[in-house]
Amino acid sequence: MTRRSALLTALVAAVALGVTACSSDTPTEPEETSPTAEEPSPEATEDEVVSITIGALPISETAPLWAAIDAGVFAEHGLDVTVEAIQGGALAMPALVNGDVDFLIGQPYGALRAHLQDLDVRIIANYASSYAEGDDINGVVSAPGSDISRPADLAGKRVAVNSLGAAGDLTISAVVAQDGGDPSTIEFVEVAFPDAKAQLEAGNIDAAWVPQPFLNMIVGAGGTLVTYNYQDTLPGLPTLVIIATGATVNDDPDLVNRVRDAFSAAFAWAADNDDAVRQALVDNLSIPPEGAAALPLPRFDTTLDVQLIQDLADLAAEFGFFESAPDVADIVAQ
Amino acid sequence: MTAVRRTLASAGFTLGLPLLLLLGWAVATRSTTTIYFPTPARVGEAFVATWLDPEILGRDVLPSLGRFAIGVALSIVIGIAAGTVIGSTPWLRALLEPMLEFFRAIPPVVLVPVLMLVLGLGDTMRLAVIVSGSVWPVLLNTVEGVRARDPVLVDTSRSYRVRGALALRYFVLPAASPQIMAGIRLCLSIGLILMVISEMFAASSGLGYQIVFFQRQYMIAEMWSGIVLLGLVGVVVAAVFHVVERRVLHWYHGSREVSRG
Repeated sequence: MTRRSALLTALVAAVALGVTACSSDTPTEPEETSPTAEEPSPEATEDEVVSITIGALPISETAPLWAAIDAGVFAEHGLDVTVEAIQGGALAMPALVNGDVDFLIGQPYGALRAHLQDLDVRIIANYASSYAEGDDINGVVSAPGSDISRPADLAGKRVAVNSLGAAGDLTISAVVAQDGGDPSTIEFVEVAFPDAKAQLEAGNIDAAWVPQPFLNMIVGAGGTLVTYNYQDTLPGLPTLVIIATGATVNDDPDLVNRVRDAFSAAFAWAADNDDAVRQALVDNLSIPPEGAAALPLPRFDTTLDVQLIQDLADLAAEFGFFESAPDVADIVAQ
Repeated sequence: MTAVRRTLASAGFTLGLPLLLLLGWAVATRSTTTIYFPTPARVGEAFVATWLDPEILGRDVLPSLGRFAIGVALSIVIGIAAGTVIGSTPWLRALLEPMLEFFRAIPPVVLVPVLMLVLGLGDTMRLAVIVSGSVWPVLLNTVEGVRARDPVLVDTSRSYRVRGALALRYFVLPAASPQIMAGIRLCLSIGLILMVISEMFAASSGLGYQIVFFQRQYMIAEMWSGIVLLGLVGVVVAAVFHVVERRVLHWYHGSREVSRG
């Protein structure tokens, strides 16, 4: 990717992330699925089509969902899917609870948090995961010429995360402690991902936690990769999961199964149709084609590693983010 | 006797509606099931536990109120000083007025990312956000108030050679003060809003930051208690303003009562 196209990608991604979603008023309650469906197989297409609304962030991770809907993968499973753009897990949770969206694609940490506050939410499947080895999809970077080169160096420094009290600052604290630094001396500040590069260059922050494509852009401009904080603490940690309410899980297990199967099929389809996924990035996020082609994407998979979610909850309790670790078995609906 | 009754009636009018609203809120949430609409008792509990905690008071509330006070004070000083110069210099006014309208129309929120880059992530940036929004009502009202001095009084002061600091102290500023005070009243409420907004970016402490933090952590009662605190700050600020305004403009209210007969 040339420098110029990288810049263009950044600008476009910034715009895409900043765009406020005007929630079009489309209340689509899931109709009762026909109880005659014996098995959740593609033959279920014979049944009536169920309309569902899925809340998803307008980010690159949503690309396989957009592409698979256009390719008819969800229709094959008897699902008429509307994607509702959301601006963050916390803001979308009320929409899930009151039924404006039926399923939500959000961070596992947010689901744990919501559960701790007695919100009736369940993780029904994995959506996207970071990589357990190799190049990861997010990490902490320091500015060019900085003396920060390893996690312990972050102690006593000002580190930007997009949102405080979440998986970012939690895993950074853990990785710094692991490397022998004192995480309590880190000054975390909230800086939106698209602003992080400029703030690093202006010297207002010492390091920043950013996802792709910002990670490659900052490293490409001479920044130092300090740590893949997900990979170095909880390798392969899910970044996004599919969330539903406990009521949906209990009252409509057929629908939940059908959604899970449809996502599995969508990801299998997406793996074989990378071009269509890249095209969805161009169409939905207005990323220039060459930028979309080069953008590193996470691993898409519906199989949830429950132990990793439990490890995340335990880590949050260990570092005082949660008062006590919830039992993940109560939150996950398999 | 009547004085006591009047005091009681006035207290009743002041507190009546808030109490009614509180009662309505309690009734509406008495069998609440969702955490998004907590009962007033729950919010009261969260208020005491959160905002009366000395640590949070010292780390979040007082610094926020300090930034609000400094930001508003700067807005008032800059607004009156610049407004007096512009208002009493016709060519300067003609030169600057379109520019002032242009800058006034820019919402300070959209300037935050730029201010963050130029001024860093600290208090200077937050003060700049507050001033960039709340200076306008003071400035423009001062310009207008100074410009609209009574021409007879202008001529009179001139013939008595009342000029410079003397004229400013005893004629120009008093003449403009009703308008200036109206500007300051607006400046206070805008300043409070911008204090909150300035803490929603690149923050790790402050009243506005805490409210957003609680929202994202699904601590909804705590979030509401922060909103209640902001409202209470607004009430106190308005009460203080009222007292100050009565003192500064006593001559004006007096003369208006006289002219009304």
